[in-house]
Amino acid sequence: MEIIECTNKAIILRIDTSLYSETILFKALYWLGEEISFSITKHLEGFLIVNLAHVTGSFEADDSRKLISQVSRALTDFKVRDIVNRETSDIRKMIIAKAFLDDESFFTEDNDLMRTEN
Amino acid sequence: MIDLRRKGIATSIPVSIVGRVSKADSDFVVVSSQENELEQGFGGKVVLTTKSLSNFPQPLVHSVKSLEGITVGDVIQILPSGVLHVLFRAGSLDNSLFTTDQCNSNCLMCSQPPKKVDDIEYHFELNCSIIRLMPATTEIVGITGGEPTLLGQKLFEMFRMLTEMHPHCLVHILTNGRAFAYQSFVKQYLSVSTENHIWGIPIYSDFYSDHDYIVQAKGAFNETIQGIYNLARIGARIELRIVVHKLTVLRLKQLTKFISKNLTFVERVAFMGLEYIGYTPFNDQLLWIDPLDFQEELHDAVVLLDDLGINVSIYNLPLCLLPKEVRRFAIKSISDWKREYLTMCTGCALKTDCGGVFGTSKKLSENIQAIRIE
Amino acid sequence: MERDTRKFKSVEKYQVDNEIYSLLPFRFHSIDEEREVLVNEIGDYLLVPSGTAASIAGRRIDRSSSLYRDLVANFFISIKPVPDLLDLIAARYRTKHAFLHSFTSLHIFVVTLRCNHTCHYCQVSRATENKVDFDISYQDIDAGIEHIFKSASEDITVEFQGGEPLLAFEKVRYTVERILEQNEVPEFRKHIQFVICSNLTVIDEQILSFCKTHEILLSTSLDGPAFIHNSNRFKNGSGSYESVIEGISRARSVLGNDRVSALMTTSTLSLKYPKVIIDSYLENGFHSIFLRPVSPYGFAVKNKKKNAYHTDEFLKFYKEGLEYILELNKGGISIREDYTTILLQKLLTPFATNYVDLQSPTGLVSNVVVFNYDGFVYASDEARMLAEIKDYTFRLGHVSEPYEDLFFGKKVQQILNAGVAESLAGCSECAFLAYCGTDPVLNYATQNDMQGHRASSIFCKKNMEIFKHLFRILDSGVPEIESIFRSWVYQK
Repeated sequence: MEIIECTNKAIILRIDTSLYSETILFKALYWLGEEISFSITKHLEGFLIVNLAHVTGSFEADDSRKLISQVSRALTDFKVRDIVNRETSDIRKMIIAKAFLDDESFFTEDNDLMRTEN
Repeated sequence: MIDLRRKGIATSIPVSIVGRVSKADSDFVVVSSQENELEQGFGGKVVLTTKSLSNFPQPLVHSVKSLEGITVGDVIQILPSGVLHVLFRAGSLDNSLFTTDQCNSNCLMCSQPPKKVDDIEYHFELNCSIIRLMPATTEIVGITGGEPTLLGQKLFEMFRMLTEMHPHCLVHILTNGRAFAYQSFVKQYLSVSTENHIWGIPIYSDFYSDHDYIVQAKGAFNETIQGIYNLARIGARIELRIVVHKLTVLRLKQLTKFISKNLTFVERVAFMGLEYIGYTPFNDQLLWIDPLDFQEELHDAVVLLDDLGINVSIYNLPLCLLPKEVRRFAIKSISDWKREYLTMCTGCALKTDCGGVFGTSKKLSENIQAIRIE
Repeated sequence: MERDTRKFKSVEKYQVDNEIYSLLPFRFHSIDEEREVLVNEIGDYLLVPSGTAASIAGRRIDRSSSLYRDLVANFFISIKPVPDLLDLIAARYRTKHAFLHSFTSLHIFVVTLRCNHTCHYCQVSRATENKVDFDISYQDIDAGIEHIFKSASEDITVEFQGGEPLLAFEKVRYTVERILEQNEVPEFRKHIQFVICSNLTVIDEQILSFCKTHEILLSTSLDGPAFIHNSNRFKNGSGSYESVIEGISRARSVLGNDRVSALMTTSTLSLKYPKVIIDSYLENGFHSIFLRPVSPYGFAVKNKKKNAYHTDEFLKFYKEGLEYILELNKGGISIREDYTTILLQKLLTPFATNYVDLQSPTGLVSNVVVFNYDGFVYASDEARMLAEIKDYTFRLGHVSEPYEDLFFGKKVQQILNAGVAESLAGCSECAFLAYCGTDPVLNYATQNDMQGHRASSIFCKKNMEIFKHLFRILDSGVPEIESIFRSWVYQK
């Protein structure tokens, strides 16, 4: 994430989509709350430009800096969540499927642990 | 301690005999065998005596050092060598059916180290005799080893006999539970399972390789947990047994939490003191910790599970080594024939409530002391 | 031969070799600058330093650390792509979602809208004597009972609300007796608990002996000490504190202390007095208190001065109250906070809870249904209150309609579809998903959208902060507090 502009009027950020996908970006911005408005535009190949503004027209003293670190942290967090989700979606499906399988199938289905050597 | 093994001089005892005591005083014991080992004409009776006798017209073991503690109803094995094994003690709650010396684990602190011997058939026959001879009033009997589940069908056969002949007797089986990870085994067990069976299963860590290391068997943790879980699914009664020593104390808190999340269905959790015998002296450096030094860990574990409404017990630890608040969880668990009190126990205010120490242990805490009431 | 077995292998031999561990599904959230909470798919949590989730995903966890052990043992990572103990994880998941198996357990009858109170946060009740227009009809009661016995749930709670339900005691009596009569049929027999939500100002011996006979629970409203209660709840134009207290003690003397409970509602005035309110509960012999915000619906906050406050203010009130309650407990005084207890049940136990407001899929319809005084059926108590301001979005139909039309109709589908947090933006990846839920009625009432928008939702704001607060308390690792929390959850 690169800070293009940071004033009390506006914040402009450039996001490298090879690091943070559009989905991750949207998830991160979802949590900004009612007082922040944002817009996203495409920029060059593989980059997104994010414009952040306060609904009143300007940010208070430190708020723009805080907002940037909030976005930065959210991007990192949602990237981690994205990795966990992608890697675990199959296991999650298996857990839920097994959880709601009828109990009677316990003795018909072959789900022994694999034998491990001693 | 009571000696379960005695020796005298045998006459006219051609084979091993298992029988029930029909008369007993301090000098003479009569053992009646309903089995065919003895020639007819002797009335199926063997006499045991402390006296020195010869020219006795009946099978006899004489010059036995002491017959103290033997009572009517006891089941005794008499060997041609004159060795007497008390296999079952009428009126005691500490009887066990020993199934085998073999085990698929090899725990660092095993009190009765496994042996690679082909002994299953031998013990099975003996146990069948005991089951036939033990009093109809028997309230509880243990099944131990080695690892009893290695008996497979023979274990189930013992269950069948017990259910048939002693329908009200509780059966407490000590097992590592690994066999129950396999559904074919669970399925077979299901046909002989009853509500009288209680499975005592040890668990030593919430982390697989710590447990596997302690029991010296790769994959054992997952098998045991899966086994416990499979047993729970068929409604079996389970007692978790945690031997507290230097290695298990490390994650005792985490293990307790693991139980509170994953194994809440168990009937009891028992925290157990070490019996300093078998492998333990050999692994002293790895295992020994004075119970006084794990008081805090033990206290927290007991309180946590008790708060959750799980039955908690402390086995094998004398009251003087326990934090006051958890003394009420201590059970007189050491088998009556192994239980001992030390000289310093004289005058202890809690002696009658205390389970004492293992008479078999070769090392005891140096902090054992009489509790005085302030 | 025996000596062979003494060749013990070292601990390293039992660890799976250098393979990279696999991730299991988990979620995380920071609780303060330095710490974050990890929550797995079955609701078990670990409190760890910030950045741990990123280290886990980046495979940077040291295999010899105790954290690594914690992560494996608590099903956050696995040494095999499919964990050996998958069955156990699935069983745990099933246990956590056990509420799904019991369709509609709470059935509410609004037997009358008439009330002898005029409380400023209530827009539902009518101070009228007109029984015909505001009491439920016997015909509608019968139809409601028929639906109850069609519910798949074994355990049923039948709750009577109003208005003041005891102003229509003959309807309550009829309903109870009718239900018990029908429950005599062995093949349909259910376990049924009755609750009457009453201000306890009209109870008499006949009512109390009826409650005793049928083991009926009484739930009343007590907002704190006289000066707070009386500024919220009026009867005949003046505060009702004295008469409620008298009613409580009268009810207790017949039914026993544990059969009478109380609920408090936090008004703007209450915000300043958490301790005083808690003390008043203790003085009146209660050992639990539910620090409950006023319903956020338009009708309740119409009186802005008395009821409209920010979630932040409520959270401050809640935290102060909880801290005080914990102090009391440390001093040996037993009192519990009910909302915290519900959340802790979710955090600390492997079991499901039946608290309708925090379930996903939503507990609306599937766990609660309301038969209103006019015979119309609603998805929740709040849903029927919306109807009082002429919004019928959550009206499922009329009680006389067939069960299937009411409970499996289009409307229910629509509500339930909006009520699966696992698939809602902002919820699906939230660390607290395993403990939280979704409330389409509240979303609709406050955001005009059943699905709602989490970032600006008061439901989300309140619960998110309470979860974080509880985790901060748990993270402080005070054994005394953990023990107090357990005593609330397990209520030994």
